[in-house]
Amino acid sequence: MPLLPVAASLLAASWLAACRSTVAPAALPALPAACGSAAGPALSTSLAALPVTNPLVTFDSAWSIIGRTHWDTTYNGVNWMAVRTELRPKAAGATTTGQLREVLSDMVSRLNQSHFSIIPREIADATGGSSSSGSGGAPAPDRSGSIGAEVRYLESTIVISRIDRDGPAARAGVQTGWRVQSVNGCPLSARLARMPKEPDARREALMAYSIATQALAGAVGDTATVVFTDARGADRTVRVARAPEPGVVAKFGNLPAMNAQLVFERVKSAGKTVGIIRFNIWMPILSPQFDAAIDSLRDADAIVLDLRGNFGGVGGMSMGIAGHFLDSTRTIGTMVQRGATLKFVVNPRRVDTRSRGVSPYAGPLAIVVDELSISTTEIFAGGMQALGRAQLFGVQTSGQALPSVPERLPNGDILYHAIADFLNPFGQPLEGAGVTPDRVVPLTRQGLLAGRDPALDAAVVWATMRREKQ
Amino acid sequence: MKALRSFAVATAALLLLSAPLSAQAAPSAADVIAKYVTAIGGKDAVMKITSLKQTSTMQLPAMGITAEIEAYQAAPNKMATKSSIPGVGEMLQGTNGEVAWDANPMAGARLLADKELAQMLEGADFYGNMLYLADRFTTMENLGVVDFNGEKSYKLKLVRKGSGIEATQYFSVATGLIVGAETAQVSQMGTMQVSSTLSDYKEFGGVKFPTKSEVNMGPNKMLMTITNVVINGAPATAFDIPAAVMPLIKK
Repeated sequence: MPLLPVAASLLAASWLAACRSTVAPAALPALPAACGSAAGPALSTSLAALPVTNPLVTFDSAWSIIGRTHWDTTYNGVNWMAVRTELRPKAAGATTTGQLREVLSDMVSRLNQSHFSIIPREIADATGGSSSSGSGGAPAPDRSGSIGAEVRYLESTIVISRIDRDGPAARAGVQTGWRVQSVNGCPLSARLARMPKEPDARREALMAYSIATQALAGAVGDTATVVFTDARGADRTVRVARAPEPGVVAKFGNLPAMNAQLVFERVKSAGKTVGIIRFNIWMPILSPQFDAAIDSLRDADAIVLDLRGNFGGVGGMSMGIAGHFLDSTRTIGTMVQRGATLKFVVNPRRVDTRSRGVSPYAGPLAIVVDELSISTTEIFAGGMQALGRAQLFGVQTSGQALPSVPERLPNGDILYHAIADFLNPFGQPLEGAGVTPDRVVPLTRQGLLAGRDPALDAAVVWATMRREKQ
Repeated sequence: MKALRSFAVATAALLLLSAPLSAQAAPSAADVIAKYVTAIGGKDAVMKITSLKQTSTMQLPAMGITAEIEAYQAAPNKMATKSSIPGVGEMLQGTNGEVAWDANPMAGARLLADKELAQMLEGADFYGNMLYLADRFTTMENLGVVDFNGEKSYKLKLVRKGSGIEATQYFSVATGLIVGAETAQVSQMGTMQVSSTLSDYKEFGGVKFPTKSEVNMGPNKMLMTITNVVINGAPATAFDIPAAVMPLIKK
């Protein structure tokens, strides 16, 4: 039987557009020794000190893969052959896995594009939720525990932006808007001060976020001693036992295991019912949950999708989610590969989770984004905005939106590399530019301290007013 | 495997780059096809088959993903596949000879239309694809002998009658078996150039099927391995329209 349609569908189901562990900057500032290993550079992992064998085989493989698959035959203006000539001797001289990784990271960084990174095999192969590693080396440290709070980089500091309702931070009395000063005696300010200079504030915010989340994460059950500055400017020392992150562990191909979480709720505003759906990653394991959420909210007056801090994931999923909100076949963008241009086509979702015929949701749709809305999130939000189906709130997205794949190298590490550019329905690339909300509503510490969420609030108000007009 | 043969038939042609032998030296396309049918076991053996169940894997090495695929096909024009992908779930595709569907956990269910539908229906043409029946094509042309993957092969240009889809296929001069194909795969997202190599022919029910193939779609490589073929092993229910697709069928 013809398997090519299957192959085409499998491909469409597999293209990625980033995820948490692939867009975090590799060159994070290292911690002082006294601060332990909580936030070391991404490449300083448990196998970094191992002797490396045949470094040129891995180097040549990585160089060739990009040479063969990069959609732009000018390699973003980089002389790819010259990069090989320059770095190959350094790869040949690498004696440890860590040194080789540094050369490889240097190579992919020359492209100056998102979605190019080296994922150490001990991280890629970890199954998540424990310290296990499938790579045969020392286990990757368990970082699956969380204090149950999200952070953002505001006014050059790390601020608690959201707290899990029943998580450790909530139980310990932590409040949104509090500044994180230190974790286990290690001041964040010192690490933030050592961040590489970054002209793009969005990249700086991502780097700061990565530093803070690495510092706050740890083994489940371990206790973190965190010093906060509260609303009155007073320091508060809080001991928080890390708990498993809510949600499920998702493993997709060569990607590292990731926590995937979707929550939804109904809120009342001006006499209207608004459904709010939030999910942190585009992993297919969440698709059935999203479908179920839509089924539950079909009678809502409006829907708001909160995609702040959503780092992306499987690109193909964006089409399926968009289909819940579009009543005709539309295109949310185009993926330009070498030798192929493929449209991200959205088909209306006319069947519910119980196999009953339905119409796609037709009420007002608002999407909330921020500088940590990355990749597939940008593809989806930008597409829905361009089609006039959604109103966007928040701040400009990250501008990292290149379809990519995680390919295994001969040494076992993963070469995460982009294979295509992505254009919005107007033919404009999302890479670099990102998506600008229709209504820019930045997060502020004052708002958080007052218990408000200005961007989400604005989205809810717009949605209810829009419903009134319909 | 028939699956691979039939997809190759159903697909489209590429450039004709190689130097053909003279018309007198080359057998006709019909001769090449006849040799091929003999090589896989003969028309009589094929006609004893009314359905197939094949089990296979499809790997995307670049992604680290392996899908397990159950594929069914039955004469005259039915087929269905169920692909299980870790982390995604089950993807269903198929046709009962009238409608064709695609349903997966990420995108939901849809009915195929236009070129996709035509392509699916042609792919389900059981004997037409097994035997390369001449009345299925407007063009069957032998372009000569070329080197394909190190093997002297006849290069045939085939154009489907219904859809107009062209395919270039390579038949081993030595064995008569298909060793590769070049095509364009039509999908809703667009058209992708596809090249494939077929190998490791094994006999099931007196008919040879290629059990390994490497497929290149643009920069993406896929490896398909057929692990089993059950002759006449497709139950009628295999081609039932999936429940998730039923609401899309207009009464």
